[in-house]
Amino acid sequence: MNNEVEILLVEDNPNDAELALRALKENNLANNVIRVCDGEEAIDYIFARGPYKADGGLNIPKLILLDLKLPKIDGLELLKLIKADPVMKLIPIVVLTSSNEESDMIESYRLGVNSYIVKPVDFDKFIESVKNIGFYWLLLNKQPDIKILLK
Amino acid sequence: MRIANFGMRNNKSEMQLISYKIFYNRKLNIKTEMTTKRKSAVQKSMEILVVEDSLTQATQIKHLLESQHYKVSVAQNGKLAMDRLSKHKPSLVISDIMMPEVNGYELCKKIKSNKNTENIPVILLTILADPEEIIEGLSCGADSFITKPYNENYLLTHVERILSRENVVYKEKVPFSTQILFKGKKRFIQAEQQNVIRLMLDIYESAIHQNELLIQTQEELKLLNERLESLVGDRTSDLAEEIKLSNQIANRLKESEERWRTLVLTMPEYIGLVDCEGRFLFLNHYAEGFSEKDTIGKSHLEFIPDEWKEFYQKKFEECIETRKNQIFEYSAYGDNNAIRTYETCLVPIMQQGKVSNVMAIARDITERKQAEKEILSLNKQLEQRVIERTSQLETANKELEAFAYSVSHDLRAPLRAVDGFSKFILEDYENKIDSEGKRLLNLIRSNTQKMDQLITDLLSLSRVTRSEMNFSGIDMTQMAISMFRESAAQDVMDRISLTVDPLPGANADPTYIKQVWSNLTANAIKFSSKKKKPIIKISGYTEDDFNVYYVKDNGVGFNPQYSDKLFGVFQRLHKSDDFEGTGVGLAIVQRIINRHGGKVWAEGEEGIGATFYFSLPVKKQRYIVQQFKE
Repeated sequence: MNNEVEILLVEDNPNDAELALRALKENNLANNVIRVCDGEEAIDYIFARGPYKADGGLNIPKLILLDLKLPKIDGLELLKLIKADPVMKLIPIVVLTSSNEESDMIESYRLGVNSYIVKPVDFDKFIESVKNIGFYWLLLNKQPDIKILLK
Repeated sequence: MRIANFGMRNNKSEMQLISYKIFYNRKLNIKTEMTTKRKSAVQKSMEILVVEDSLTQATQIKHLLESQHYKVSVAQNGKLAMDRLSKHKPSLVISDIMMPEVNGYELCKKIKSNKNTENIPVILLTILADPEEIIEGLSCGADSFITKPYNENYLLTHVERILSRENVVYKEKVPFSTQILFKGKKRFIQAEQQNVIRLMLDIYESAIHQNELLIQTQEELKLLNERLESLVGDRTSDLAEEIKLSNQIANRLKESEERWRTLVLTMPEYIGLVDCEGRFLFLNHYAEGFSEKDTIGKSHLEFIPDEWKEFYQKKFEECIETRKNQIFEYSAYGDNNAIRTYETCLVPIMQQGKVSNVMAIARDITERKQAEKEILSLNKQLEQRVIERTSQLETANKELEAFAYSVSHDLRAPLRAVDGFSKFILEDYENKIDSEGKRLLNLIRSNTQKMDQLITDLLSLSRVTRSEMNFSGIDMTQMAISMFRESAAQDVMDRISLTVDPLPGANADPTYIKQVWSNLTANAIKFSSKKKKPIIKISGYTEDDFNVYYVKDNGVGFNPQYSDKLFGVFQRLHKSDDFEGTGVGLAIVQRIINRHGGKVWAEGEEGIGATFYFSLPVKKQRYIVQQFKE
């Protein structure tokens, strides 16, 4: 495995973040995971701004796991910003949220989300979900090489 | 001699006696002569000399006589007549008396004193106004008199008779002479006796004739009088009838007038009559503080406050101009000079095609207006309250939504953490925790699951109330079966004996009805799962305007005493040890069905089973409570 960042986890709740990381780890997906705490940080990371400026835009993740309820720039806004960018919109984004609200689902898909997963309370089921996500998006699914597009 | 005596003595009674005799005889004669006179006209080739100075009268007589085939010659005076007589002898001479030069008497005297002419009969036309004329006539020896103005028939008959008398030969002529004193004047009358008698008869006849005419006239007058009297009588009775009728009419009119007057005077509305200048001619009653004295003859504008004057005058002029009723509201002075609001109607009164007066009917609507105003203000208040309440409700609803949202997000996160970290402990410290510790950790985990389920159910319950309904046709049989399958685990399903009857279709929101079937079938499965042979029946029927569906099981049932508690939130009739559940499922069912305009109810018996019913209106009903929209 190379050092390329495979998953960007956008999650403000440290507990949830820890649970998610553990679930990823248990499925051997945690090696190349970056976790950011809010939408603003996620933007900085993806577009190589602020603290991530030096990275020179080389931090393109293969998958973004996105919580909806975030401080500063919330999940839906972030989704909108990424999907508005002609290149970045190619990154698959999976919403991983507690919200089972129809309105959130509709809005997410309208903004171009690639998948929408409701976090189960049962940790066993959560592990199962994360396993399925990793398997599908990182192994099964084919996607263009965005870095080549950027160069 | 008797005649002379009669003339002398002027004996009235004797004269009357004689005159009656003659009257009767002569009357008969006259009558027969009158009817037969035309027969004798044939022999009238005789000549008559008319002596008359008036040409008109001469022509008149001439014409009359000629119409009876007499030959007629006319002399305009006595002298000319004498000349003619000397040459030619006529059969008869008719002479006027008053003529210039030789008058009638003189002419007659001359004729009678001449041997050649003495036999020619002479008729004198006289007005017989004076006895002197008769005496003169007798003196001059005239044969007959005809009174003027003469009746044509009488003249003709007379002429005929004189002429026929002429045919009788008077063998003996008895000379007669006497001297009479009349009006102190001595007269000497010399005539033949026959002549005197004849003359007297003529005079009588004339008198009788006059008398007859008089009687006749009198009779006619009497008849006329009678007719007139009967006419007057008729007219009088007609008039009486008319008067009676007119009295009756007058009485009726009076009654009617009184009725109208009472009506007009007692009605609460003002009825006024004004002329075209707006001056009051009549007003049915007066407001307190006003009287006839300060109203009649005054302009209606005097009773209207300044701000309404122009408006009222405009309407008034419009009424006269268009000749159409004007109905409007305005303000005017009422009782004690207070300004009142009136609803009024101006009516043009037409006379000979022109507006002569205007009638104004005004009703005081001040109270009504006040009430209207109050109602309006109350309505506004109410509207305001509704708006406020609505906005409050909207706010509450938004809060509820926000609450639901945060529940779904934030309440779950700690649960996940509790469950997740319990799992971490179980995994990471597996060897350090004894079995009791593990059991307790697992209890923590299972309680987080229950809590999660509770949150899910509460959210779906609130969603039923919040979200909109989307109606469409539903195959209920299909839906019931598929939801039953989703609700039951495979192993349970194998044990259950399920019967599904064909169900009436429904028009409802499929998402929610799915949930109803899901909840009801899951309940049935759950509560019958402890039976060896669980039996579940799904069926339905149509009653009145509702389709009724039910799910029946042979499970533990319930005490009917608590059936009303079944559909309450968090109401559970069984221990959670026996049957798991949040106590929200039936509450959700009830809310969904209520929002569709239907009802839910249940029948059951402990240990025997339960049947849960729900009904949906056959037609899509409009009374479904709609969610407030943002």
